[in-house]
Amino acid sequence: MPNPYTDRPDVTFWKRSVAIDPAAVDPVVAAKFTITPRDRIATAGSCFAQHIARTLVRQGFGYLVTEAGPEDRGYGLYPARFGNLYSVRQLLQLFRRAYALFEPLDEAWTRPDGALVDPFRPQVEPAGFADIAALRADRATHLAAVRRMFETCDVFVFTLGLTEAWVSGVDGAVFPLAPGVVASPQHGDIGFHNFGVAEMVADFQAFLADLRLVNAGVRVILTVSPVPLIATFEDRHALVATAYSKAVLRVVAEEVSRADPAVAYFPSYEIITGHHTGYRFFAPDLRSVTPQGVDRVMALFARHYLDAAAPVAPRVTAAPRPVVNTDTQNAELAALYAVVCDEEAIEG
Amino acid sequence: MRIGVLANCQRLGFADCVAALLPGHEMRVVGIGQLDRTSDLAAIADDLAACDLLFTQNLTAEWLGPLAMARLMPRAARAVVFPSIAFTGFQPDSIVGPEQGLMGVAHSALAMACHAEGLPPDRAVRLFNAFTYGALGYFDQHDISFRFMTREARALGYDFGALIREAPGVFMHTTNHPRIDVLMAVARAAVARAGEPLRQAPLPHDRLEDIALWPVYPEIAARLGVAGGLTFGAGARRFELREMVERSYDTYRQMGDFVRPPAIARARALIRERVLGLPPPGVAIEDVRMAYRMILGRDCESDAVAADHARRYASIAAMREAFLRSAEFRLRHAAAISPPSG
Repeated sequence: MPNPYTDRPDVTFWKRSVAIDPAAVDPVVAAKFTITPRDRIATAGSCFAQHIARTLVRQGFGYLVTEAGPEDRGYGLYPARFGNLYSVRQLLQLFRRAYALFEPLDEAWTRPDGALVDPFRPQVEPAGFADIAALRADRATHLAAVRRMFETCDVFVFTLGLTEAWVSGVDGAVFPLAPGVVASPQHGDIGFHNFGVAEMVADFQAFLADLRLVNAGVRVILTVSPVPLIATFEDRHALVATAYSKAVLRVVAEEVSRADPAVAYFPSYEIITGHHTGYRFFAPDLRSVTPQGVDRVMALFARHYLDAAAPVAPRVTAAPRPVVNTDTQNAELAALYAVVCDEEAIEG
Repeated sequence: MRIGVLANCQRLGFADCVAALLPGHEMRVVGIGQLDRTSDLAAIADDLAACDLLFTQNLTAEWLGPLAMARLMPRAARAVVFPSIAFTGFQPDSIVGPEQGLMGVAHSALAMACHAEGLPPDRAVRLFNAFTYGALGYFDQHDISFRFMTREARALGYDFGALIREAPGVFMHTTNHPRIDVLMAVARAAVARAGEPLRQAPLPHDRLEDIALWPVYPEIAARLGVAGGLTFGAGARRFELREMVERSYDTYRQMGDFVRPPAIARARALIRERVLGLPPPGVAIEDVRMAYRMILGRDCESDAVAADHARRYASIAAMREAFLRSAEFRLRHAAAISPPSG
């Protein structure tokens, strides 16, 4: 006797789509849109987002770079030198800082060696800044590059990374690292906050509304980082905190993408953490994603989202980077190693 | 032949173009901006009506009396109306106010709103960006303005699209000063309507260009595919955005309160909501600064404190009451407000 599931496609059945040859598992059913070599693509988010950038460059797609410079000074990881944006609130505030809508009181934090850092990207400048004037000058250049990115990208890929964040009690500014990890603020009014679904959905929708004022036609792809929390500040097990965090981020991505025809969800999280993988895409630390895992994610991303049928030279080319040869393990590891996570600094 | 021209400031280029297209005739050119209470409007109207050919804009203001189009045109032997060109698509931030500022009567709505909301000039300069333009509808102004001018011109029998096709790129120096090639296109269409033969004529010197230049802000220019910049021009002087804002602030400080067009209210509302986090009406940051000076006798310590006060009070009266009840006020004026002893 037929039931409502009788004629459903294979991908909707676990047995036929997950409990199969792991290499054949492809959780992307239908891309909302495709990206051509003509499209200028910007990426941002947690460190996993850096892999997407590297693949796009390798495959000759139009990876947008609006602030170019040497890689050892934080350039080239993203279109502009903003470092990792772990939370949606950070993304929203990056936009608002770029357009002078929000000018946080925390301009500079001080490192133990006396150098100043920009608290919103504390690790981009290895030597820090000698004085506040140098920091401000670099910030102005940087925020101009951020504006160019938001205004000229055709596709914006954002990887949701964390729910836990450090927030200024003075003006609500959100920082990528807790005070004291790399540098310290002038005041002690910075508290911990674990963002929930409603706040993050509201933040992302507010970001989208603002973004569309400067870039009406932009398309957005959301992903969730499969990388577990390096540590939680809450009084509970890191595994529980990670499960909560990923569940929340996944719901945020779902709610935002379901409600908006120009926002797609790409399941990199499921590709890496799905049951079919048996955790083989994680390194022995059970946290780092292996190069094979990254390759799998990007192969599926390329298959579904990158339409190379019309090979046109990208309008904006990437900054010079070391050539990455994916044929050798060393090169793969080098590429993986090059992914910069501010979070690593927590463990000292 | 004696040719009369009656128009706003656009007479400068338009009359030159007519003179180039119909050379060898006597020109009588009247600008309505030159008229004042002492002008003998009836005598000017008699003079223009006596011309063999009269070109007039569609002037309808009541104060023009006998110079209004409806009264003047029937008196002329041959009269042709031509459109005034006003176009905000390139310079949507430029508004015309009654006060004279750095750029004559043209002002930046954004700079004026930032001043009114007490933002320092540095912050105002940083708000000249794509978000602000998008939120204020500046990116939409080209289409809106084009549709408006198309309707206005069509009502007078002109094809606005055809007129500006002859003047590619940024065809306006300011919102009401067209480039000379636009005025030449208007003049050619008007001369043709007068039944006069058209001849090729070189473009006259662009006299409106000498008066004022309002740049097309880069983010707007990029969307329109035209050249952009932030260099303003007033006469022979050129200055960048920062100087325009700082000098405008100087002007506004001296003006005190003045009539503000709706564009200012929109920009102020945006700044209050998105920059200051304040409700639209209520207490402005500048009001807070003034309260500090007037009541506490000192300057407010920081913009952040001023913004915090502005956010806190729903009205000037509530803020005044709080200041008068403050410990600082009581301390400062203890002698004056203590009850007499004995």
